[in-house]
Amino acid sequence: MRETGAYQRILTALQRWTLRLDAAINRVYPSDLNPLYYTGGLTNLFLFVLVLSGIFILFYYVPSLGGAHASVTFLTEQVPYGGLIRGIHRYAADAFIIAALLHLFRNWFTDRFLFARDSPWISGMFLLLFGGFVGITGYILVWDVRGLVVLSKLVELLRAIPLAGDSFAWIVLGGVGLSEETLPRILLLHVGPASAMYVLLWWHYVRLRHPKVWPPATWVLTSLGLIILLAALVPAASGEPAVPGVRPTTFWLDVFYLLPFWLLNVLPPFVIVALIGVLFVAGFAIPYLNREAPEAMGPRHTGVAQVIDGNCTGCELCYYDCPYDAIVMVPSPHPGATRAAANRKLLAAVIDSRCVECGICIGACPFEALELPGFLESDVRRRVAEAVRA
Amino acid sequence: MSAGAQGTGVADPRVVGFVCDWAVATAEMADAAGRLRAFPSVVLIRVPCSGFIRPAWLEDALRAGADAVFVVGCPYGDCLNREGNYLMRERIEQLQRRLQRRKIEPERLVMLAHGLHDREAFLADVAELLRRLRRLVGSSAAAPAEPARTAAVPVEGGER
Amino acid sequence: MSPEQKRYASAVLALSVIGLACAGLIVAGEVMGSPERRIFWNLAGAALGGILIVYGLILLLLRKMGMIGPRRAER
Repeated sequence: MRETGAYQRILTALQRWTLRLDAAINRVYPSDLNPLYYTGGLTNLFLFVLVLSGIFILFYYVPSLGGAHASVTFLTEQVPYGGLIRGIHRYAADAFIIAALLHLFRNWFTDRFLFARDSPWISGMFLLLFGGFVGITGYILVWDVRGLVVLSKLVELLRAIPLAGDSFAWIVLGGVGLSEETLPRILLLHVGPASAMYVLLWWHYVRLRHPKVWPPATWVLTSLGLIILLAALVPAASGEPAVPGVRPTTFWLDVFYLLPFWLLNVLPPFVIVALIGVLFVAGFAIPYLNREAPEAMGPRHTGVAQVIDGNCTGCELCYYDCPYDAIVMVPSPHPGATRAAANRKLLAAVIDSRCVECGICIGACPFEALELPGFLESDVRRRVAEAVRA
Repeated sequence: MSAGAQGTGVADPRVVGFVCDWAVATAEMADAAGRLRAFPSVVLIRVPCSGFIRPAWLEDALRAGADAVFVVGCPYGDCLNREGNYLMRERIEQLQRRLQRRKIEPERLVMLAHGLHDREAFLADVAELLRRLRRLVGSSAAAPAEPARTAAVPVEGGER
Repeated sequence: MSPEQKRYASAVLALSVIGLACAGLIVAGEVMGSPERRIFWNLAGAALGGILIVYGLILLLLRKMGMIGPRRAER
């Protein structure tokens, strides 16, 4: 847990700027409507919009080399509101990745990875990987000149992976080269990982009680409205149909999803693959690289909450208030020596691996049946007495 | 506002503040014992999260002789532990209703929300709290509806 | 009503007029019809987006006026 001072300093500076930005927004929006407090909910909202609009598009899409581009054009120009829904799908995807990255950076800079919060962090890294991959396959599915280049560059990147590279390329192409098997494959690799993201979201939420899955109504409406407005004013468009073998020299790149492909201009494929790998693995290390030494954390690091068996009445108040689902009520195991223990049916138990040492259960308990080992109730009472006497 | 509130000879109200360690940073504005330099009658106790505070402790502090108690959490929506400051706000509202039945003014229990670097806003809120308390203490000096003052008795004596 | 609340109230009124205009635009487009309908689909989309944004802002202003309560703890 010992870090170089530079990482600590940078993280502290970034936290300062994050909180300064919050304070600025809080002057306009009431703080419980601050959109930066709901980046996770916004990401989930955009994912939901993507699923709905994606289902609509799925009914019109033809995954064949000859038919794909024409089916997208038909959807855009002939189907009522088809172009609008395509635009929504496109811009919601950009909004999704922006919100997801904001969510990542915000939680990184404000220490929301400490103690038992590593599980959402790790599932979040997988969600980001899946989300990025789904975006890339989405650009291929349009099957215009850009889609073809993105596919060939993706295969180039995959082939640069040592040992397994050729197999990965085979999986993506559905054979050794481009064939009629390819686009159904890409469609599967677009829809499949997108569906898998909901499984990962279960992992992401499983330790939270009442996860804030949706942003406040004002932000649901505003962000949906912005996406629809953008989709209507700047319609999403395809380039020229893809013709295998013909390579364009320039085209527009989506910086949010296609940045690795832009980097191919400057770096060899192997370096990019290595870079992505290093970033991904380093991401897993973040929750274990603490800004502060554990002994310097003071009241923020007080040990996992402990239940005092003799005082617990089984009232469930701590169970309802624990924001991390770390308290479960178990059948009271024995008759018990105290009056509280003799009369209860349930006993609170703390799941150590979920406890983030916040002490909210202590505040919830009116029976003095919970304690933080590093900050006992007697300490608090002593300090209150000193404060009042002085 | 009575202009002469400062000059009535009423001692500075004693205030105990519980401060979430993730909320406003007080290291630079308080001494080692938690006494605020700007307002020496205010003593701060840093806790892991505003939700950690048991309402009974606030009640005890008032009973032991504090004129007011306040809790500082992070801005609503930004609690590191997701719900701590919302839960504490509700507990304080409940406690205010309960204490009101015993003729203890709700103004003596205050919930504040300030982020790590919002020290100016925090100090302004404390100043405002002290101003209101002086008025309260001044007006209730005539009609003693105060809680019984047992400041001399250590709080540990009241262990249940 | 405080002066601040009055300002918010007039903003809500202005926003609802914009929202109503957007809704009117959609209805007008449907009534007129056209062989070249694509432009109408996009116009309707823009109007729909406008309505949602306006509603979102109205909710924000109502909150600032104090007519919608703050978020409570969930349990």
